[in-house]
Amino acid sequence: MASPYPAEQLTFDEVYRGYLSCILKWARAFGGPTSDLEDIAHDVFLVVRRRLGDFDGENVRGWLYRITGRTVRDHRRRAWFRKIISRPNEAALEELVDPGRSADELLDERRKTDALSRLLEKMNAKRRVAFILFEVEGLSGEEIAALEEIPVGTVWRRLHQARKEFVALVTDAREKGKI
Amino acid sequence: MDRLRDLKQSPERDVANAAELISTMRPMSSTPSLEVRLRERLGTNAPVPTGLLSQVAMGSCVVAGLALAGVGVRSWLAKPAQTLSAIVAPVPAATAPAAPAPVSAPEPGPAPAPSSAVAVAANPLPTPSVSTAPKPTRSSKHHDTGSAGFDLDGPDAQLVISAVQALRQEHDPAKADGLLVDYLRLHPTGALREEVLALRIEAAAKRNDSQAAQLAEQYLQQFPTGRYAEAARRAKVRFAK
Repeated sequence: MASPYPAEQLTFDEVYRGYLSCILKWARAFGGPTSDLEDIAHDVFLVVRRRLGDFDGENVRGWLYRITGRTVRDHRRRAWFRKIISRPNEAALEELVDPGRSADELLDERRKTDALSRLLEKMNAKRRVAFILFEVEGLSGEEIAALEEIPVGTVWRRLHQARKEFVALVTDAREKGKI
Repeated sequence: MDRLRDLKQSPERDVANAAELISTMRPMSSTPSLEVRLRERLGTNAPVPTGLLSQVAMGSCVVAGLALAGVGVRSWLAKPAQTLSAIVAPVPAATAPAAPAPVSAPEPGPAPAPSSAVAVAANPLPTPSVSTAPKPTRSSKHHDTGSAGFDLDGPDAQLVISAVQALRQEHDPAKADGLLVDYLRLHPTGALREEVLALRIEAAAKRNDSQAAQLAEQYLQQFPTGRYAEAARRAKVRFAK
């Protein structure tokens, strides 16, 4: 997918307006917890603001994608340590407040989401990223290849393996009564 | 290639079940309120990002930590741990439960929000088996982002793990502080800087050292809206000369 802005004219504001949604999608695909995506996006844009001047303008999406990947990785590490250092907290308030739906519906969805997250967490990370971008975010194989800077064939292979892996995980979880 | 989510009617039951489940995950999108909120934060928030790129450049990540986080390599301390929050609590800290139940390893997930930090933290400290962890075998060059789970690799993480162990398990705050100082010296822009500073306050507080106030001040300057800001404020007050 072509950049919406010519790279050489990119300003921070343009990056923000043009890529915030992409960064949120990528961050989740990289394994960023939904409740932390805002914080992750915040950290990504801090890096962008600091590095935009040095950016060569070649591949904005790829550049942001890589920053997002690193930010998610660091975020997850910090999250682990925070759980050691302080008490784990409750779920994000936003997730609990949804007046349009019943408690049963919310609980059921929460269970499914949790189960899905646990399964995705077990997947090979590279395959999981491709899988979520393709299956959930609707990116094409070519778009994923461009982001990852890998051949399209590699993306298809990862997707093929990811699907097998995911189906196997779901089947196993069902057999064990976990979902 | 068809998308799995479109195969909910597949005659293969396993595929249909998987398709049903993955289709419950909605595409991620921004919202106007998030955009505004984030823009405000970016306009006013001071903390500098924590060395993301320098970390990558630093290289030489090892997998000892990953092994620590892996299945079957961790052991868990059965004793309660006092956290910074508990130590600098505004009220005398209550005693921790005598026999806390073992907990499972922290999974990567939503990072805990700033603790309200009044209650005694009785969460058993996960004690990574530092001494029994497999030797590092990979460098960052071969960092396997393909493995499941998350990253706890890297010498920086190892230092912090050892420091937490010294502080909470060995009850040796001096040793812990030494390790934490080493971290800051070796990784001045490390991703765990905030946590390290919070742990240094905790270590100083455990020693009843007035340095806790200076460290708290330092923390508040660097992370005015940080996760441990409230505890740091209390430490600053309590250990002020």
